[in-house]
Amino acid sequence: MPKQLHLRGYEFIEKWRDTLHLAARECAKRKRVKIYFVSFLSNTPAHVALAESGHSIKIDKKDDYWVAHLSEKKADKTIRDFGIFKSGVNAWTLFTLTESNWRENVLLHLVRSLSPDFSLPYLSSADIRQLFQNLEEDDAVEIVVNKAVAYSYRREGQISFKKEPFQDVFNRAEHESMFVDKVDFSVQGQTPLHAFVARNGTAKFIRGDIEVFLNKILNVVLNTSSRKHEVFQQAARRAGEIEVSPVDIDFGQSVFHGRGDNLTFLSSLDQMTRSGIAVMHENPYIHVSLIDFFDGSSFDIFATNPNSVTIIPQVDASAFSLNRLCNHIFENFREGAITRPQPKSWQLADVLT
Amino acid sequence: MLDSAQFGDCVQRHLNDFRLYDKAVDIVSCWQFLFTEAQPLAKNVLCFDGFPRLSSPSTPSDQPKTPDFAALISDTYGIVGDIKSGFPLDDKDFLSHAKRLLKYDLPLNFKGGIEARSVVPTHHDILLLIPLRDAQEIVRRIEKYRIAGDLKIDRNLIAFEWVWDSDQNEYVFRRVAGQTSDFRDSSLPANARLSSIFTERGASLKVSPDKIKSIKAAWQFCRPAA
Repeated sequence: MPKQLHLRGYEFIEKWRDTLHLAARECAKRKRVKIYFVSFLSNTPAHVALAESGHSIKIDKKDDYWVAHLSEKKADKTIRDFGIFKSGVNAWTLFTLTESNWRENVLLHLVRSLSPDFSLPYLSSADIRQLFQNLEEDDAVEIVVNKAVAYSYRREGQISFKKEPFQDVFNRAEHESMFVDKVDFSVQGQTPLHAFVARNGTAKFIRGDIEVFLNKILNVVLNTSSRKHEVFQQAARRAGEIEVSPVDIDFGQSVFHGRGDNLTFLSSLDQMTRSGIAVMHENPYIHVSLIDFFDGSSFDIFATNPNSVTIIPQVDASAFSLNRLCNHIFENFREGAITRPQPKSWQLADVLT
Repeated sequence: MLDSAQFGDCVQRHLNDFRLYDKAVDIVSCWQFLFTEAQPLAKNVLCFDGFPRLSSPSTPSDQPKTPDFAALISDTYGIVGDIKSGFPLDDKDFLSHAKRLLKYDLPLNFKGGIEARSVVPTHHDILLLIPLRDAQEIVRRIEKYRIAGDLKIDRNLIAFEWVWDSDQNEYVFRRVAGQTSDFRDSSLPANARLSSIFTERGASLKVSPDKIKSIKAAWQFCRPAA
């Protein structure tokens, strides 16, 4: 066991998986220690993006990953060591051993500063529920939620410390028009696991089997997110092209019943940080133009039927921005399923009596 | 400096202007949908031009004409569409307003489609789009002036009334009854002729916002710079 395998920075050995196994052993020994993971999607390799980010970061190459040393610019004192590995086609994961929320936030803030070509994975409540459901079904285990944080679409938080089956937590949130934001859970079965997952894609391994965590939690989070990202990439409109590729958010039920609902939706869009909206239509149907000042992407957003909204990315709008926009709608208006409508061919009969 | 009342009026005026423009954008989009996406008509339309500037080969030095849209069906036939939000009540003002349509009553250079060529179709018709509430009266008065010889339009003028149907959530367009002129669209196949659809069958065009959202997102709705 490496000497400094303690909180001051356990030894980063040559392979990231082996390093995580060592770290997992440290978690088993020390109660408050956990491995914190921040994943994100980016076309630029994470180590390059971090090196160019303007932060004081020294990066060393290991066999199949990188180790970064983040220091304070003024004091030249290392404040965080963390590993970086490629976790998907355009997905990257940062990990570190930690025992305090403050240290976790350092990594999350660092990732958030990688503007503009990045986005966090952004899971929906349905994605997290599906993750648990698949794990229970495939591995014949039981998942118990230890602690959950849910929010209403008006951002009123609700924290539950009750140990209960995960389905109960998600059912209650759905019933009370809330979205599940964070879940601390235990997998009870042959390969026990205590972990945490949040809708922004951050995750914590607390104790148990690290392989189960990597394969059944982290990997699934990133696959879900990459699939969504691919849909968003396909929706991009290229310069000079007339054809547009809409993305629909299907709410699965009627949510626009009149002007009041339209105004609620518009007001939720208006709250998106670093963005501006121009409302072309507010009633009877919604047409909004939104600009994301983060990277200059722009979108036309329509609500022309009671069950869904349509987002049409404008020329060179990024998949990352579309991801942020969908997540904003999920958290501030209502969650839904992201779909790409099939192109339709219309006949005269469709528009005549 | 504006006082608060003047400022309020100013904002209201701009909002009203915007609503008028916005309505025109929706109406043009509905007709663009008909001419460019509804088959079999769409495959027989050479070019749809929203908010165009059309010069006239007979008066090239004149200001270009600015209808709300122009559709070139073939080298021999085109349609110029003009939206009017209403007509004045006073007879003299009404006639003068109606005479504004005469600017389209001369050969016009239509945009020709894929190639950047322009085409002067052998003949074109003028499609007037007016709100349902006054449509019948407007058509009756125009007919009266045409019979009396006060309004001489050589090309066919066809008036359509439009309304937003809030129950069905769609725009409805219908040929106003009591008109003598019709589309001269014999160059179109029989199953795509507007004359057969709207005059003989008496059908209405019904377009929901769902159908025009891609058009509204993809196209610019302002007139190109002169």
